[in-house]
Amino acid sequence: MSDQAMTRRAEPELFVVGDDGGVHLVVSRCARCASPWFPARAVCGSCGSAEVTAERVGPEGTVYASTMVRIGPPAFETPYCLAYLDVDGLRVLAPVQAEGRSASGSLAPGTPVRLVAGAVGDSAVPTYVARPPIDGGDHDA
Amino acid sequence: MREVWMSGAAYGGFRKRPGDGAAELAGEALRALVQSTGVEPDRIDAAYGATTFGGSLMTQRALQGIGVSGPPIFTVENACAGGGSAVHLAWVAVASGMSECAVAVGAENLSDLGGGTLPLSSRDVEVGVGMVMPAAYAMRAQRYLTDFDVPADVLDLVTVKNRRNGALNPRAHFRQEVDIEDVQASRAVADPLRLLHCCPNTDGAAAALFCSAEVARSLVGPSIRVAGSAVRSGEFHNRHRDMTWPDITARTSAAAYEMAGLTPADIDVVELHDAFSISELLHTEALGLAERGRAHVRLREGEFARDGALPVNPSGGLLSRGHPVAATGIAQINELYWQLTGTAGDLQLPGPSVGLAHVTGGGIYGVDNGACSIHILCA
Ligand SMILES: [Zn+2]
Repeated sequence: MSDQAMTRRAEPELFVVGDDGGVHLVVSRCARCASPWFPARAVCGSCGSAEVTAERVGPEGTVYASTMVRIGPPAFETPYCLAYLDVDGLRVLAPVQAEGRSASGSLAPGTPVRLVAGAVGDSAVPTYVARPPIDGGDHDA
Repeated sequence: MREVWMSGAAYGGFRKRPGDGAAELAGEALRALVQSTGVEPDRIDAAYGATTFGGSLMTQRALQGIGVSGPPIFTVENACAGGGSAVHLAWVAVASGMSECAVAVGAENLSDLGGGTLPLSSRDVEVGVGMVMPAAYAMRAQRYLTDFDVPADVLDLVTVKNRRNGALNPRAHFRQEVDIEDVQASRAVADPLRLLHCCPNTDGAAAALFCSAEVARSLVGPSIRVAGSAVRSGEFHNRHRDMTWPDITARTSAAAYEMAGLTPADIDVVELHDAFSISELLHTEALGLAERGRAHVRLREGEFARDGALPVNPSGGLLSRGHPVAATGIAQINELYWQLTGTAGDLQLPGPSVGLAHVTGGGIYGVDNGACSIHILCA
């Protein structure tokens, strides 16, 4: 699928899955100030320019910070692991899962992860999740 | 711009009050304000109310409880910073000469929403993958502890200090002291945060009166000067963000210090937004009241205790008082009013003359916080 095709969709596509199974996030980048946006935006949130181009980032990322949520919203089975990731200059929040299950502990800052497709909460819609290097997590400092 | 005076402070609730709507709680605070200041209700010529969950026209409904209708009345929404924002607007009204006597009131009933973490906007991409406020602060805590090589018990020490302070405060929702063992035995919420690292959901209202010098002189109660009043919004971006440095607090405080012609060294007492214990450390640094990465050391040395060099949250903070979202910013300013006028009772510190109130919040993706408000008050 070309970037051109994606921009014509009514619902903006959050990500595409590559041949290697890795998730590439669909980002818009401002032509004027170079800010990246995820989900993609038609207008730059930093400078207001409508000159934005579609880009893909990932699937490799690095954990900035992470937590195990033990009291969460009703739609989510606890505990579950979340992490802020840095992915090619973009900061994005992702669930941390391995083999379809949440990691069992917070990941330490700096942990390398790979974005793959997964599911969260009670939603059947596939989303992006971060897969830690070793199954399960428990790498907290 | 002319000088603005704060001439009264009052509260209502600050405990569980299921069934009492925000407007009723606000009305309770307003009646107490009228009683303590002696202001005739028909002198109130502008009103700014704040609520997030209290519904349309909350402020009109509240002011009906003191017989005020007709003048310009507004209800503002700025999440946790709503109360501070309402005070800022009252300050603008009096400073500009448009108003002689403006009231600010914030109120919230959270019991009626049910328990648990507060609902965030459901159309937010982060909420869609399971974000809750404690998780956001848990990740800030993990980074702070990692980046500055801090033992995790510092989070417990913030709670122990603020709960000790709150035990003296008749307005506090929680008036029992806790020790480190209590904190560590409390339920895990989002690692490394436990229940006693998080402020309670509380129902309550706070109201305050802002006047010209002429009106202030005519009232029965003491007045203090509003030396600085600032509100800023969070800078929206998806790039790298240092989550141990709440930029919004740094930018808002720089504006407030400049307006007041003061520096962090001039501040005698602070009420800041300790919605989570980690928040106190991050904001103390971003307010310029501790060196970067050093607030935990000064906390451990007792400098932020009631009898320390710079008392931080001597009222007990949000951790003790509770957090009726939009009422909090005004409650903090009120606590400073009582300190700076020597009327704080059991909480009274020895003669502080400059106080700083800081409130920030609002969980939306792409910003530190949605809004931040800072006030500097002088005896
Ligand atoms: Zn731009």
